[in-house]
Amino acid sequence: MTLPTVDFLVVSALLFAIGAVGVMVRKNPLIMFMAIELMWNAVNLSLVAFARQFQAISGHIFVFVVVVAAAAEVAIGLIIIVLVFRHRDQADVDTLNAMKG
Amino acid sequence: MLVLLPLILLTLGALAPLFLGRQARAIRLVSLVFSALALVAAVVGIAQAPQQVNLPWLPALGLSLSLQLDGLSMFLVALTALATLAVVAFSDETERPAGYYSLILLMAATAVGTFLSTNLLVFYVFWELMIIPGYLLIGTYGQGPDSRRAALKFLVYSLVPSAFLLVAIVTLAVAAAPAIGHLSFNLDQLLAVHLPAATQNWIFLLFAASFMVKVPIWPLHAWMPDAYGESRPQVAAMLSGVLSKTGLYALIRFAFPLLPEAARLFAPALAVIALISILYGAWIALTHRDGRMVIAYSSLSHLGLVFLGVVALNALGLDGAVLQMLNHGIYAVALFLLFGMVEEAAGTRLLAKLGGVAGRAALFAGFLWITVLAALGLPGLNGFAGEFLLLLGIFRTSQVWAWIAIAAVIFSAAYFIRLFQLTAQGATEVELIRPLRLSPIRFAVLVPFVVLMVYIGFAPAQVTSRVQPVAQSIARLEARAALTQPVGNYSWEASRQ
Amino acid sequence: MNLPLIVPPQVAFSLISPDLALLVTSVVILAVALFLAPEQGIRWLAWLAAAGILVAAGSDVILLLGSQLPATTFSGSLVMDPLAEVLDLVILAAALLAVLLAANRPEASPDYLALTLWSAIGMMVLVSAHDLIVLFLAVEVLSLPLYILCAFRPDRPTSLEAAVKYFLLGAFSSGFLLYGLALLFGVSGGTNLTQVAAALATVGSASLFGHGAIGTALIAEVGIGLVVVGLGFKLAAVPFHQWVPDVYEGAPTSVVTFMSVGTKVAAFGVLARLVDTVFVGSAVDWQGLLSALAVATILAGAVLAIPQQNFKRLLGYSGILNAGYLVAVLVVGSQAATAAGVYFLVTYALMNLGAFAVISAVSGGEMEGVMIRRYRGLFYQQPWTAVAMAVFLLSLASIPPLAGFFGKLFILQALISGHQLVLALTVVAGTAITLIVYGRPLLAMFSPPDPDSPPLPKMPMAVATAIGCLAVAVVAVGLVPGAIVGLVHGVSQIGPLSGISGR
Repeated sequence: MTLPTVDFLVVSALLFAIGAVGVMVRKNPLIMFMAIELMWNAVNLSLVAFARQFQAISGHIFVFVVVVAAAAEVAIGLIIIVLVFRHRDQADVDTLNAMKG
Repeated sequence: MLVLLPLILLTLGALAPLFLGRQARAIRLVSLVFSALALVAAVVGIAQAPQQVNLPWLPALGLSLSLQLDGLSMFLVALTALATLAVVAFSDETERPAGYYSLILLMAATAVGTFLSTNLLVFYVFWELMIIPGYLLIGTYGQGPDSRRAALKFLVYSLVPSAFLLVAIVTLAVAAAPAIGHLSFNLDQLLAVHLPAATQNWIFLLFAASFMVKVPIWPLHAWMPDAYGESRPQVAAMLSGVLSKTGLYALIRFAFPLLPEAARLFAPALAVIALISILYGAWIALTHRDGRMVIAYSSLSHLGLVFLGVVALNALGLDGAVLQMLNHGIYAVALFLLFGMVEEAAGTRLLAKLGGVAGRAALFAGFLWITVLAALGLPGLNGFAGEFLLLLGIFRTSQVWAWIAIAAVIFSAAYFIRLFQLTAQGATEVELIRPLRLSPIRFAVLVPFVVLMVYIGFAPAQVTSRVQPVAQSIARLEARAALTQPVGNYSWEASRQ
Repeated sequence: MNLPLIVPPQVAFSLISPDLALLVTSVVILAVALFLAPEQGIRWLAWLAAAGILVAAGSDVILLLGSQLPATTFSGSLVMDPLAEVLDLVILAAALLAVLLAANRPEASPDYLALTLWSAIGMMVLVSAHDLIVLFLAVEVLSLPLYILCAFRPDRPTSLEAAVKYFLLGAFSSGFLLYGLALLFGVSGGTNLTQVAAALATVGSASLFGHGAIGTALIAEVGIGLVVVGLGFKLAAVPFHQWVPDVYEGAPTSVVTFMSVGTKVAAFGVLARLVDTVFVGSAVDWQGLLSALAVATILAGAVLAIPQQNFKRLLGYSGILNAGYLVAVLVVGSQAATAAGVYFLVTYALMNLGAFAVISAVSGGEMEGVMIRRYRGLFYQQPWTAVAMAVFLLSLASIPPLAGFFGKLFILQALISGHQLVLALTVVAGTAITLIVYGRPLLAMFSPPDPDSPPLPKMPMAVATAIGCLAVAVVAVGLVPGAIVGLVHGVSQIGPLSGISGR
């Protein structure tokens, strides 16, 4: 028996929501970034499910592109976050408040 | 080309100081020369009118540089040039001269532009542009401690309605486009289109609000005491003598002819507002302790009367309105400038601390006396002729309005005589920081003012006969409105697929 | 086993010559930098980058004047049409100014130049994207260099703070964009915009994959909503606007100059293309969403700008406001409206680049230099700089007859012709508030100078020239709006500007 596509979509939506909520409630930029990665990968799950449904190779290609982009995003994001850690004892987005208004 | 000449001369005069650095005398001289040339061009224009130019600007948008010199505009253009000449002659800014004289002439140029344009969008260009020199003159060349706040208030009151004015103008053009065949902002073409009442009404309200702020008319006058009080007397003279006329002029030129049905609908309400303006202004002018504020609120009252004449919607009232706009410009500029000299000489403008100027400077007091008499409407001087014609026009529409207005005229005699007595006569001998001496240039500039007060007083027909054709055609438009069928239905809800 | 035949895509390299020019330039810069001692020769590299940008712009103009357009390439995943080429020119202008401004600053380095060029390539691809994958990829190529560029002054805590905020919100919003794109793919089964448009035109109450609870219309609607919100981040629209003021304040001025115009142009270009090719024909209510977004963005941008004391922050909120105008004009969905938006963008680019160039010149890289109080008496110290800045500010406040006024006028006309009263009134309300906002620095510039303030830094010749050219352009475009209407008229592929004249 095969799982219907809709089930994958529901799981994907749930994962995306968990990631989105994680970004909004967590304060540590690293954890926030992990939550964002969760959102991206939830989308990947959707894409794979759609690609299987349509038997479309383009969906799989899309997933590869997303994975590559995510890797680049990680590389850059970690550098920036580590730089912030270096300048301060702790990293918490609430303490990033030199600018207001 | 003659139409453009005052505009071009004033614009050049506004640009010239930027190249002269800090040489105050040279800048003032250049400004004087350019405004004098503009005055000459405007006077020649009166002799040659009517004239018009049409230069294509952005044909895709129905936009052409259409300027017209006719009975309605020619006197106001000349008044602007004369007022500018006087204001420059009465100024002596040495600290930051380039900005000051440049802004004064820029304000004059934009005002001339609003008087001349017969394309709604071109008018709007000048109308918006006019706000900027006013804002900067009040804010950076102010006198009082609160000049920045006054400037901000002026900006808010001018800009917010005029931003919505743009929506009204564009909607008018879009609604009229089907009837004309293409998008056009030209007054001639728009006048031929008769819009349905529902569309007219709210466009008219946006027009009227924007124009009435500039006059100002109660209850949109709240910026006026701050702006007139915190700025220099010369700037106040410009605001009251020239800028206020642009608002009234725009009502006569655009709002009433373009939207005749809405004008008829709102006329009674506007008349009530005008009457409140007249009485409120008179009351404050009668009681205020500050001499400049007396002049300012007298303007509110007098221009309220002009507004009432416009709202009367007949040719006589319009004719009188244009005449009185010219008259008010002449005596208000003279009053602000002369009283400004008193302020500078005495170091105060509180009436209680002034007095006895007549004994110190007889010639000066003589000028002040004639101006005050012209302003309070003494028969034989220009103020009387204008008020008389206005009241006749108002009588034709409503006797009640006219009687209330007459009461205000009597008031005006009272507060102007009080102003003169407390300044020039009286027991208190004010101590003068500076002598009240009229320099030859100032004297030379004041002479045409006095000549005009007397000349228009005796021969008002010289003005009214030229205004009459335009006034009658506008009045005809108002009357015709009821007869024709509207076209070009435009509503917001319709046709959203 | 039969291997499927691999067909190489049809690629017309002449069509992507601007992008290639930037790519080659960036590689050359990095290669040459290997042989140069640091601190030395950076000005030559900056000139090299400027030359590469000019070559790209030149090939852009050749494409625009030639007869090749409109054309598709890369198997229909890139569209080269006048809309894309005109927007490319604006992006290149922004990149050029950024390079010129950076040349004398601490942030100047070979990597800086290369990253700027790469980001510009991403923007240029984005406005041409005709495929969901390319669209996503272009957004990433555009954003990733910008994240780094924001952090290019690690000696300043604000620069890092800006980078973190921009990065986290950017990645977050990319997630939304990605999810939206995935859902659009799920509705249509293809990634090309033509396929997506065909599928969206027929969505109805039919359920997705035979499952009763989820209708394709719902999926399509959610997908469109997520894409719009995700792209709204790049455009600086509400609800992803919080990064704008912080990044504008914290990031180096040259970077802000570039991104304030570049990302806006790119995001508007792709949104206009989506509206034109996908949304308009779809059976989904997209206008309500865009209207709400526009109103919220305009009001937020206008109101929050009022108390700002920092010039860069103030322009940040002004950027939000202008993003709102751009979203508003897209609601109409007509080709005339798109053309109005393009016209507005071109004028916005001129005046915004000019304003940032002045800020960069006046501040001289100091933090204090970007405060509005620093501009007191500028007219009496550097009269022509003050006049130029006044021109830019008045144009941003859409005072006629400057360029910004006609941009706003076309937008208003499109909205009123499209019977969008609420949006038209919101647009003018925003305009009314902005002049009050811009009035403050204007007043400061013409006020008497502060005797205690330090002398202004000397302005590099290239920057002075750029400011002068931009100011003249703002005035000239205002006085002769017909000239640029002619240029944008080329956007006829997506919207004939003749349509602007009312019918």
